[in-house]
Amino acid sequence: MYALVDCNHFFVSCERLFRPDLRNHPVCVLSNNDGCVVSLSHEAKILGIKRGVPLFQIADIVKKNNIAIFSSNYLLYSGISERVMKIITDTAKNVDVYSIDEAFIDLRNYEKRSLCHLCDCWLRKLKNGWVFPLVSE
Amino acid sequence: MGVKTTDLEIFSPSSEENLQLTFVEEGVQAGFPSPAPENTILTLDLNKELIQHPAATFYARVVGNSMIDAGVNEGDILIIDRSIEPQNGHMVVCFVDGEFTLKFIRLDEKEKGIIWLIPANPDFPKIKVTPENEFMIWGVVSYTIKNRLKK
Repeated sequence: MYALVDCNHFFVSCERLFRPDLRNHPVCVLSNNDGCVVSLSHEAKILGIKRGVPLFQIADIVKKNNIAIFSSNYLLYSGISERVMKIITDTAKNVDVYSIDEAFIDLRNYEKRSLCHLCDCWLRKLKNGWVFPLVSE
Repeated sequence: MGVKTTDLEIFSPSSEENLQLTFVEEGVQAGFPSPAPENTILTLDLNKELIQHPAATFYARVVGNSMIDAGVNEGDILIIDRSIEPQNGHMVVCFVDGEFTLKFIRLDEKEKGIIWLIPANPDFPKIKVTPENEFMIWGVVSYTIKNRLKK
């Protein structure tokens, strides 16, 4: 068995860490030079915004709904990514960090009981908001 | 990486290097000097000593003087551990109605669900937090670091 850890709208979550006021607010993060939307919150998705859309095409929706727009800040994202990956690599063996917000974990050598322990450990840390919530599949 | 607010400036720790400094294990007596320590010289790394959960720890520099009676002055450094479960009396960095602030938390003894944010300076008001406020405890302050040379 393998696990895939994938953070929800990772760049948005990073920005929200220092902007708790945007927790339930639509948020988009843009690509380099503020071209396209590369990360968007659930609330922004509901408004019909799609990943990859150029900013100028959604200017009206952004203004009308007061969507919070961020230029990308890769220094911030890689710093937060290191924290997320550290939580995983500190507790599991054979982790393959696949991208800034994804990791594969090889769970073949775990017995059922230690696997439950491992999952409990992650859940406890994430529930306590060590960094921010993750979704694992 | 960091963010500046009215009460605090928050940073991410950098711990690329470890710095082992000589440490006298017997402790330093704040009274009569102890005889020369014998064979107890070890090293101590401040990162290891002060940071239990690196993935959950942030630093902040204090702006303002709402906590001076707790010995926390402008320019002091806070170590914030987000993995610590906040408890009554903890010094916390919290977020209330759009602003980060540094306060003690106290749960109301009579009214359930009411939290008081207590400053350590009589010139600042206590803040009553009810479910109507936008409120979260961002992290618990585990250490404060103070420059003793600065006046």
